[in-house]
Amino acid sequence: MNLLKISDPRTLIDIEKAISKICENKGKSLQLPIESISKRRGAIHDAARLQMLVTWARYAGEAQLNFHQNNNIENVLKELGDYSTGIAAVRLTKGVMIGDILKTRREALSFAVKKMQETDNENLDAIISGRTIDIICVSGSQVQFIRPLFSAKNKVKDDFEMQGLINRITKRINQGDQETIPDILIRSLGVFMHELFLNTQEHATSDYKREPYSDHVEGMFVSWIQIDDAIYSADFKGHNRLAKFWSEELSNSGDKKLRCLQISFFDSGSGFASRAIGKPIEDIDLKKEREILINCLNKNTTSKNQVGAGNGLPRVLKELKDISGMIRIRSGRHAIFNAFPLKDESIDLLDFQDWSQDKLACVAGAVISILIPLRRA
Amino acid sequence: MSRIFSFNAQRTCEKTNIIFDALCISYDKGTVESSQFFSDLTNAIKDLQTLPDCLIIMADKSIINNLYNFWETDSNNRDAIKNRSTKGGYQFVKNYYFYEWDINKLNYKLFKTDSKNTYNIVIDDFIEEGLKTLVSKNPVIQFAPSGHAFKHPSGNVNKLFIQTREIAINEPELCFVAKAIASNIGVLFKEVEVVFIDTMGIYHIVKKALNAVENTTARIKSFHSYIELKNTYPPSNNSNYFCIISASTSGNMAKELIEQQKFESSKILTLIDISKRTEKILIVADEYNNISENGDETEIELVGEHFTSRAKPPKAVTLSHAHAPKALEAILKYFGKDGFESLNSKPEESKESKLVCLNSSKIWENADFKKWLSEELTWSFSFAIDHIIHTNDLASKNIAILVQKEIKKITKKRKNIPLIAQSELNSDNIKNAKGVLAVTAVAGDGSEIRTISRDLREYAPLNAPRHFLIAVGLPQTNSKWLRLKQFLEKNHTKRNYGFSNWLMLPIGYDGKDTTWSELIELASEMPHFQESVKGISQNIVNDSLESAKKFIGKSYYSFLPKNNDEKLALTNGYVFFGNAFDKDTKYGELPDSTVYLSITSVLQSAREIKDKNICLASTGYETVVLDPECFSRFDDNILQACLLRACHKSELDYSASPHLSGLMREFLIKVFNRHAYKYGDTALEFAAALAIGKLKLKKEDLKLVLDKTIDSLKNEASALLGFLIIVHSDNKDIRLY
Repeated sequence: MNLLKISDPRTLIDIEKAISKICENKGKSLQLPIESISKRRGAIHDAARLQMLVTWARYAGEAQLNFHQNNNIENVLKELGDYSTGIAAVRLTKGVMIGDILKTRREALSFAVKKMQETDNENLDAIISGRTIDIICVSGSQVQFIRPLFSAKNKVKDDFEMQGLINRITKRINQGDQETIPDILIRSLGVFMHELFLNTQEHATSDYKREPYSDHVEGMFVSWIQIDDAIYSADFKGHNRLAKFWSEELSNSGDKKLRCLQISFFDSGSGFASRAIGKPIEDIDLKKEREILINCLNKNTTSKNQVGAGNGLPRVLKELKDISGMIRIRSGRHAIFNAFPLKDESIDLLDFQDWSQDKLACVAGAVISILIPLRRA
Repeated sequence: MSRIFSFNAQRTCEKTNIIFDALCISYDKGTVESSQFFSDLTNAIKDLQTLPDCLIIMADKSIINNLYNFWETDSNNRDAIKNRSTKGGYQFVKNYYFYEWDINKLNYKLFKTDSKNTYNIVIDDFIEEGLKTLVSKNPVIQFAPSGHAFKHPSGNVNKLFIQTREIAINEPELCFVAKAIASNIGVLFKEVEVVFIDTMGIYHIVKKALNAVENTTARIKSFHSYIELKNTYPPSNNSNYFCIISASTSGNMAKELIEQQKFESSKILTLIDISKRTEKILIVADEYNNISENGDETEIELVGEHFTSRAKPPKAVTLSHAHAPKALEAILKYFGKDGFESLNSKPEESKESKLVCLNSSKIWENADFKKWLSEELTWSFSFAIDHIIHTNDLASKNIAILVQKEIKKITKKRKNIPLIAQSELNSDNIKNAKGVLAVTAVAGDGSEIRTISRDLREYAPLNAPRHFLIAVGLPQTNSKWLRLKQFLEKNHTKRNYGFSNWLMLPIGYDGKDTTWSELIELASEMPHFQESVKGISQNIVNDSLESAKKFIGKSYYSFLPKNNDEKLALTNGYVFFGNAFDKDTKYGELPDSTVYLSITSVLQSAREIKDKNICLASTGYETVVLDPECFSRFDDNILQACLLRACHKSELDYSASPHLSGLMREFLIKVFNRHAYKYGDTALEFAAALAIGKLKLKKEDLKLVLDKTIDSLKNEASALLGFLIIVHSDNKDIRLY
């Protein structure tokens, strides 16, 4: 049967397994439970699931996204249209099957209208769900250059404007607990949002040959969700430094749950290495790909044709170090991270390590996630 | 919304005799936060073609204090800017100057600089450059259409009209101009009680200039050009006054004010003039003073500054032999068969794709090029050259090797001159150079070779002569090529650096916003279209839109195909190929890119041709379009597609001419109705051009085309129907969200 079934992948480990399956079954229709698309589980995990769906969609051709016939058609379409993971999946595919009923992309997208308009109006009350706010830019839509993130067509808001947005977002997702967000954090988040989102617009709207995609999505998740050690600890054990960062932050919090702010930026482009050297990922040696990926984060390495370009990501890393956060990048066949423990100046900005020792399948697009533990004074 | 006006200005430092570039950033009023300030600096640097040598930041006293404070205290952002301004461990930007507006002396004075002063800055020189930037970037200078001349209120007749009111198109620019005026007039401006102006068109500029003066109560009086001039006299009660004239091409108004109306010469400032005169002039736009009339032109009488409407119907220009660019035949001969990559290809070494991309390896293998190179080296090169730098691509390296061998042969030296790749260039490997040759195989607008030139300024000895060699130039326009040449040749001495070029062909716009990218944008909007058309089933509408989307996706490196999905192709006997190819060449087998190159270069030549009667360029007073006749004259399907894609939108806008629109209507009806036959091979291209608004007809003509076409297509889904459904929406946004 030309149908790939995947159960709800919850952890990053599960998601990577699902991506491997997808890559082994390119071009097959995909069936999965609706909650694996609509459930809010934090920016890091939700962006990873979105990347899983984008990867499937990029290989899908005429294949469709399937849901079991027991689902209510309207409910499925509503849930798809209510969260970035679902909107991305629908936008990049030809249609959605619920049982044996086909809903075309055009029909399915009509269920995302309210969400997109509320997002464009920056009505945070309407788009928040479970302390997560997501913003998606959908190619070709009237609100592709969505106002919270753009000041004009193709013009990403600057740091200062982004600071205003992140201030409003964090206030909304953290109502009643605002005093724990220091100004330096807001300022740094403004930098992240400007630089990382700018990056998606520069790098992800065309493929490695610079052919513009007609179908693409970019966006971000921001969440204030405690990460439960009992469920997710294995995700943070793939490297000694990562495990140390996780356990130290967990013990600082004095709980079995890590209280943190997570932000993930996603796109559906060709990924860092492929874009940087203008070749499909399959034509690049795995080791070489890692080298190129790290190099992309380095100063003055850029695929932009611009004077003085190539300083955005180093700037983000510097800010992240100042606030002792962690960054994870998933692109191509690699997942790498850097973590800056509290009161430890010794970590180099570019000392990126592999997130886990497992062999990873090749994903479409890139996801950059940032985790900032919220430490009580 | 921008807070700044930024521009690059080049000067020779009087202290060091070094040419240096200053990125000048002028703030308007209002508060600025630290991150805004650093964003402004970042964006201004990004907009440049090469890194500057220093930054000059200008603002009011209250603002500059904060800006400097941000610079001092926000180390993360400051380091980010400094990193951006550093290359190969070298600080290309050596100084950051902060200038404050001195409200007492009415000029800019140095507030602070961040480190030891490297350059001797004469701030007024940079302000002058900024004003000239505004004149060239904004629609200030208007040229009379072909066969016409302006009759100015002074009675003067010439081809120029200066619209000073257009000099500033936003508030930061207005603030800059205003301060420049106040600074030019000086402290006298503080005392004035009345400012005379010749037109209300500059009222906002003068008002803003008065705002730069503290506590002024001066009134502004307009004498509305020559109408009230004769009744206007300076105040008789010794009160202070000043007179500001918007613009002049003859100096007559100032003369009359002084001689007839008894104004003091020292109290008159003309904002823009095309010649230096004894009276004060803010901007001398002398590059325009050699444009003269023949005397037999039709006169357009100017009264005030309000004659900008285009009352005449568009003029149509038909392409002909006269438009064939000089270098086209040679380029086709050498590279036409296999020298051009597919349209929109990305060369391996390049960061971006190019619409027209020459395979540069074909250059250094070319015998005629080798012959030219050998002669050029013998005739034009300095014997001081002892280092060769080449851009990073293989072809440039191979040309550099050819040069290296040839120089060895000519000089009979035993050792080869060292070759340095652009990416390897640093101060260590070039610091002892006595003469430098920079080589590149192909340059468009020359960003790579510009960067080498800028790097050499940093790394190479000041007095080492330089020579720039560009084998083939494919710039967008002749004028851009000229600017590149000037940039490379200019230096601190009276001599120019050397410049050699084998072939050069302007090819028109080849940036990001092409017809191809517009079509991709349309394709990306299609899944969001919620269009229904009366009399057509929704399934057919949806499938037609999907089909059109699919065709766009398949044609990024070429053109939309014929009805039977075959490629468009040329037939033999095409006028612009001349004798470029031998008789056995089958034109149908030539690459699409070769055909496109020929049309786009002919169109560009038509835009820049000196004979204004056959010039395709519009002016502020006349719209020029491509004659619809061209689609019949060049009736090969691929030529029609090339014309549609290479023309500017304004060149295919027939909506202002009932006659031309009618011709196009009849033509399109035939093309669409015969889409299954040879005559209609380009139907998809024409429909796509209508769908993206590139080809425009009068509303009623377009309706007729659609009425006669959609009805015959409505029973079967097709890409053609898909495009026409979009056209049918009448430019309304039919996206659901």
